[in-house]
Amino acid sequence: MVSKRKRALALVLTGMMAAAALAGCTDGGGSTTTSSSTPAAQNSSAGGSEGSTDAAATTDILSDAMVNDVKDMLASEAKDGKITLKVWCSSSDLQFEKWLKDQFIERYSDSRYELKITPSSVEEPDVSSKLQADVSKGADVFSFPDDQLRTLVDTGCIAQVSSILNENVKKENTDASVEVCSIDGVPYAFPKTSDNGYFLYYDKRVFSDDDIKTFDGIISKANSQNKNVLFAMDNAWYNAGFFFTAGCESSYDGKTQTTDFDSDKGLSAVKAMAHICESAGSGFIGSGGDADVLAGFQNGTIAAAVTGTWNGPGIKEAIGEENVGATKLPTILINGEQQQLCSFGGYKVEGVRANTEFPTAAQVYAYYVTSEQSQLYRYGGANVVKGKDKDGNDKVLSRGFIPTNKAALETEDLKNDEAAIATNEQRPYSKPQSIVGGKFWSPQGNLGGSILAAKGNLSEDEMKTQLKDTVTAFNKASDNS
Amino acid sequence: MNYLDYVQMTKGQQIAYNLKKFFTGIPGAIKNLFLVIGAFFGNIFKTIGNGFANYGSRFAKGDIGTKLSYIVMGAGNIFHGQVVKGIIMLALEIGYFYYMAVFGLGQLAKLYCNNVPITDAQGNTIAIANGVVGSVPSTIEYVGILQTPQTKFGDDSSVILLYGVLTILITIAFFALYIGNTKSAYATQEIKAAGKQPKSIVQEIKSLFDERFHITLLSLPVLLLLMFTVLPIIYTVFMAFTNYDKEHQPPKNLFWWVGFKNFADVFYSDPATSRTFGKILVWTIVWAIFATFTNYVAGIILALMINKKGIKLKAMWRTIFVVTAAVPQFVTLLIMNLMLRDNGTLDTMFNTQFHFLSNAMNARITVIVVNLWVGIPYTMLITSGLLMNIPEDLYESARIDGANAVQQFTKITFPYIFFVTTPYLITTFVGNINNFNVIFLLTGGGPNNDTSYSQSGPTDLLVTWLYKLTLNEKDFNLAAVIGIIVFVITAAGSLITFNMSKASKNEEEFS
Repeated sequence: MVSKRKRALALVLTGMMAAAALAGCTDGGGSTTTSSSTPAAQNSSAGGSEGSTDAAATTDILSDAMVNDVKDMLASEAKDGKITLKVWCSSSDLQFEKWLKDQFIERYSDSRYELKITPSSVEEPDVSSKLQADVSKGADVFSFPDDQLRTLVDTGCIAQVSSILNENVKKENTDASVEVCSIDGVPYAFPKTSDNGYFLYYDKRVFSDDDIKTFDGIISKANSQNKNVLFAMDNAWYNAGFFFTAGCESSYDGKTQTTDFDSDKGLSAVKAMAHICESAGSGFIGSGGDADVLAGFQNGTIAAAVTGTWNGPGIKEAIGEENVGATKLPTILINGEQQQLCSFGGYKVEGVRANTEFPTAAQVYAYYVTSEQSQLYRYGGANVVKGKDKDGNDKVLSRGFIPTNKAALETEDLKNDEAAIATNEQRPYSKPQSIVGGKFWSPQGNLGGSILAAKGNLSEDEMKTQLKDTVTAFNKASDNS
Repeated sequence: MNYLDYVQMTKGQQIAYNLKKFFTGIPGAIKNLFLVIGAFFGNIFKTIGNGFANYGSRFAKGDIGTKLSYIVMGAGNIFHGQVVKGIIMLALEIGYFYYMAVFGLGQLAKLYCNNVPITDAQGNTIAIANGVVGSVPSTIEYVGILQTPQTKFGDDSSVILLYGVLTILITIAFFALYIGNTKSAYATQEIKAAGKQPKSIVQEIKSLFDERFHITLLSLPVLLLLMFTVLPIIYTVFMAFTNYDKEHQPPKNLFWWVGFKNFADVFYSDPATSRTFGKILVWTIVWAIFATFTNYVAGIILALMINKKGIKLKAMWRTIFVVTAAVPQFVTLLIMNLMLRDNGTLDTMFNTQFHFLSNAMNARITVIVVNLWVGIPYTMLITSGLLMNIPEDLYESARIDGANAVQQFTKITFPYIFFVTTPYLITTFVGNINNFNVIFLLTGGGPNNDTSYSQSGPTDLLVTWLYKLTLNEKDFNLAAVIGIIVFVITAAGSLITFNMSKASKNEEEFS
């Protein structure tokens, strides 16, 4: 044990020294800003830990062997013997996050410093706007959906992930989840849960396993039973999948949205959308939010819907748990052949505030709450965490969120979880939301809405005009600077 | 044309004549408006010019105390016996210069900085910009064993702009105080020369509760107005000339001055934005006209029906119709949205798809009709009050002369109502141009199915588009431009119509 620990520490220290040497080098070269010198230092330290792969396993700083090293790091960072971290999470997660915080404090508290961590509830969609409003009053560690990452990076509110920690993050989590945490190849967040995306929920009494393979099959079966399938065609988050299925590409560099939607591939995507919209009113509903999905399952008008785990409990309540099926998205007819419908993969991730007073402690904490064990606690199953509610009754604190950690996904519980399987099966066909900018959503939604309103009866010229309008609206035509 | 010629014309000719008079009157009204505005500014410049002339002549005629007060504020007052007042003025001068030296000048200097490095997300310099609001970019340091990055944020352009505007306002106020100080010094000199004693501080304070009581009463409201209305307006106007958009958001990014580029974008140079602007502007005006006049006419009709002789339980009817106004507007609108939306209550009830809100033309008609429900009670209340006020003998003599109900309405009731309610109509019209609630809560600007609208929908008004630009798109500069345009439209519109209306021309006369 001792030798392992020494090796790990040595490794970390080597990285640090290399960084210091390089930083000193550039400073001597006459550069006055620390900002320009440090990325080089970053790369070198990253390279350092990559170089010695056999020791890499031991750089897991959360391991029991390294508890004292972490304590040393925290002690060197404490100000007036204190480390205080503010944590934001959604109100429904608060009780679990508080429990997790207690675990962290128990593990890493020390006589040299006082460790104080205070989770409070800030709803995840509000995180970026709240941080922007006054970044200095923001939380040191915060949980948010990955679609806000671009804004947080552009406004400079979020810190890069320490390159040393990132080596572990990259190794331990699924590739797709690591990818959404990076902007232009630079890591900014720790992947936490992988279920912020969508897949197909259906009523097993209505659909057989064969029915749900193709979108057309679902619609015709639903129609024959006087039921409907809901897919929000007027919502860009869902309908963009058609374009990715058609082979369209998209990228966003913080200023410009580059897509090839206005092309023959885009046109075939529009045609595929139009084909499905033809069934609007007879087996297909192309518009509706969460409330409509739940109401539809309750009153029996909807028997299948493309939605996510957040609606899972509601749907189970509406038609009975044993009747709920979940699977990857169906295939769609595009250019005359059936192809797997693509989607946006959504993740919840943990970020660290750029100007936090305790950067090391904040990053270690963020890494801790997204580690394998924490992710399993958050999911539940064999690792279920129980606490008390307000009235003193037993309450499950675990949230049932599907992990991003590879080892966690290999546990028995998750191998048998239908929603986890569906998310997993859809994963190869899902795109990170960082490939589109903020101006993408409204025009792209309008395009779907327009096709839906016409029930798919658009001439090819109309389709082309609308595609052109949509792509133009992704960008402002002229740019400043 | 005299009155006799007019009454000899047929009805049609009279209408044609009135229409012609109305439209030929418009250029005159606009000309008058500009004359009024011109005279207003002319007066201001004249006053300023006179001020400078007096400023010089006072110095020439002043004694040593007055002359000294041109540099040391309050010196003249102290010299002429108003010691406390002089000391207060001196203290204000010292305070102002202290503020400028410690804070104000720095903020003003940062309003326009050249050669400022613009950094990317990793803190690398990617460009050099001129005319930037703020000069210190954010930097990133890598600290600790884990090499964790820590950002030191630099200047915040929006805060600097705000303090810059504040400093400018304070400077203007100080300048006014300075001129007042020289005036006061000369006035006390003249009082002394006349052999009298200037007012003591006690007498001055007493006068604030007596002949100068208006100053005591108005100073607080004026100060608050400056702080919470004038300051934000100037701030917004300045913002329209910067690139404070999605890509230049604090805390990391600085923004800079771009001149009239944003105006050019909205009017012609950015095709998507300018096309959307044109469409939304037309719909905003169409909406304002329809929403105002449908409510007005329907409210009058309702009030007439309730006020008609022979209708029983008038108070009850009135109460019933006012109940729609008693329910908070947003509750009504949200319930309407639930009823009218696709697969909403009405669709489910009749088991069909009405598409009230999911088709552009339907949605536009729907908002105008729903607006009737929210707006009629107000017009009804106002007009029923007016109706009860019309002297009954007018109708009586009209009846004796053989006028029928329609003639009574067009000759007595309507002119009366129209005369009194013209200002109300103008405010309603302006209010409807900015009617955020009805549009936002009922349709949210939707339906979202028209690709020719950039970041908006077919029922968006300028003001809801502005909201979307600020809250969703963070394009504060474009939103500021639209705010200015809306202000110009509503201010010019209401000034012209009010100047042309009878109510302003014959304030004394009535009927």
